[in-house]
Amino acid sequence: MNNHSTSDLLHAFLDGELEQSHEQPLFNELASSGELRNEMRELLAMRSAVQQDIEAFTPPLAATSNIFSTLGFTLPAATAGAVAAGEALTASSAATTVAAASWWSKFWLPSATALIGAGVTFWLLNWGYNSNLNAMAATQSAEIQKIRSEAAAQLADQANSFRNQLQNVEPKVVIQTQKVYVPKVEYRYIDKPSVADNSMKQNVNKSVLNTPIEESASIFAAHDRQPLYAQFSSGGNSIFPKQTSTYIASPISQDNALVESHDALTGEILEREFLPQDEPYYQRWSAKVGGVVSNWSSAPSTSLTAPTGTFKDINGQLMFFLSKDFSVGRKLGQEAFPLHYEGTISDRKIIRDQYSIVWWYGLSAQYQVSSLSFWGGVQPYITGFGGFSELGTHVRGEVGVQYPLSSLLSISAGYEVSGLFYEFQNVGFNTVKTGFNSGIIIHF
Amino acid sequence: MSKSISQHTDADLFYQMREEKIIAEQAFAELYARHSPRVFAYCRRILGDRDRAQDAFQDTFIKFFQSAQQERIMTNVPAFLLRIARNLCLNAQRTRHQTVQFEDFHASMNDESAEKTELLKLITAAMDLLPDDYRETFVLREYDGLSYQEICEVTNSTMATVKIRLFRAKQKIREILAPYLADLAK
Repeated sequence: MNNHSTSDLLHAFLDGELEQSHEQPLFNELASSGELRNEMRELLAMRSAVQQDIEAFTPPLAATSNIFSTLGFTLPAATAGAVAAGEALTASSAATTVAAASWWSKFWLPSATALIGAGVTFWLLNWGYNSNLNAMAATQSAEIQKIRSEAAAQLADQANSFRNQLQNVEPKVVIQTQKVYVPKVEYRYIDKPSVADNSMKQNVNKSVLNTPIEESASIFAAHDRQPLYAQFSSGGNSIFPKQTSTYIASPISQDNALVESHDALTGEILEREFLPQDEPYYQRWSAKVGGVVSNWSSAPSTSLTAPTGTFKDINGQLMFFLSKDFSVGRKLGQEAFPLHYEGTISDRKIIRDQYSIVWWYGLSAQYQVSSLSFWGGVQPYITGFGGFSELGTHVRGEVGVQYPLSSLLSISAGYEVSGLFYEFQNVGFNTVKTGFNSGIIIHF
Repeated sequence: MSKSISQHTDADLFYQMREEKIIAEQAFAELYARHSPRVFAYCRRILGDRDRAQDAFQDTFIKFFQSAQQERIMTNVPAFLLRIARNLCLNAQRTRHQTVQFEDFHASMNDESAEKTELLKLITAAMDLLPDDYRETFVLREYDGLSYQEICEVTNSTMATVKIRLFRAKQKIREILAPYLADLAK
């Protein structure tokens, strides 16, 4: 067997064209000929290099666009996105028409989602969850108003009667009132018998007293058989009569309960206003502008490779509160994703150029855990997002904390994960990014 | 339950391109996704120049769709596509030889924007030194993955001719790259 014929056999074998009957002679020759083995290695190296010629296997996006526009077809969605962002299309009218059509093909779904979201929000505002809350709030407000009115009328009669009495005695006395914020104090006191009554035993009791907030240290209980009083001072002047008893009581807890208006001269309660336990519900919105500095952290689900690096994005969020803690809304932003993928799948060379920046949009829901508020008002929150981008489905998740600077303004910081899922030439791609986010929130 | 578009054979999709626009559009898009890489690879490596390759590539798919509107029995879509691409590339080569051969020669030699590896760059340069028919046979085999029989159909050549061209093309490239391949094969 001469060298030329064995090379022929080798070439045919590597091309999958060698008849089975010729394989064994080739293998025998390969076993004995170092030169033939070298030739095989060189041919394989050549083939391997050709398979890396990704550029040759990648039609330009502009060419794809031109073909589809010439035939009057809509550009496939994934290709359209890449064309719009990556390659400058020639400014032909046909290309412009295709770009417009592809633009609509990308955005009709997010637009429809936006309309549906707006409709749902409008319904919630007018007939849904919100209307029930508003009804509850209205009932509660009316109840409070009724208590206030009745108490005010009753106290006004008493005050007028008292003024009349005082003015009858001394016409020049000027009635002053002082509004005192009165917390409800639960306290423990020692029920000690008086000196004159040695037969009584000493007991430790617990009771509740409404006492002014200025009274912070000692609360004195009266004699066991007398009404309980709290001794306090305001502006250096004793308001309530000083008690003869010196038994010390220790506060256990306190809860803001009511506001009393006292006559500064007599200490009489002129007005008592109960504070509601729960705040009534009012419509509340928040708008947030934030950004993420993130790290591109995973490759696509395929065997393709992608560049790594640090990316940034910016986004805005408008939320409507369905309750004190739970809010829903819409979120819009743009984000950087890898510029291209390269690799081979099932002997197909794939190169995927795409946006460096994609826009995304969708619905967002957030729960802020007010009950876990700590460090002077810092509240944890968790946010979920589902929507669409110019390339495909987009989801985001976020956990963090927010801190109110005022009733109108808060700041937030957290950790965020985002995922983008799309298809190109029947190959599914996904990217997942993680990063730290921060934002400024306006409440209104 | 009907099959998804990706489950249809090439021939099925080819015939669907004669139907109403929505179906034809889907069929074309699927065939384009399947075969555009190999068609562009052929144009790119036969013509060398990227812009001219792009023109031939675009015309190939437009003519392909137009051909589907005619009554025609289709057995091998990739071979049919490459036949169209081949005719367009031959026309383009004739035009190039008549006009700006010298400049384009350098353009093709110096168009290194896509070469990822040094070996690939050398192979591409070596291919440009091959006779056109050798280079074409090499591209159809190594880039487009055609069998010897399919190369015969595309190039209207005999089996013996195809084998000789392919063998000589590979040997020629090996000779040009001998020092480099020897190191690489160790």
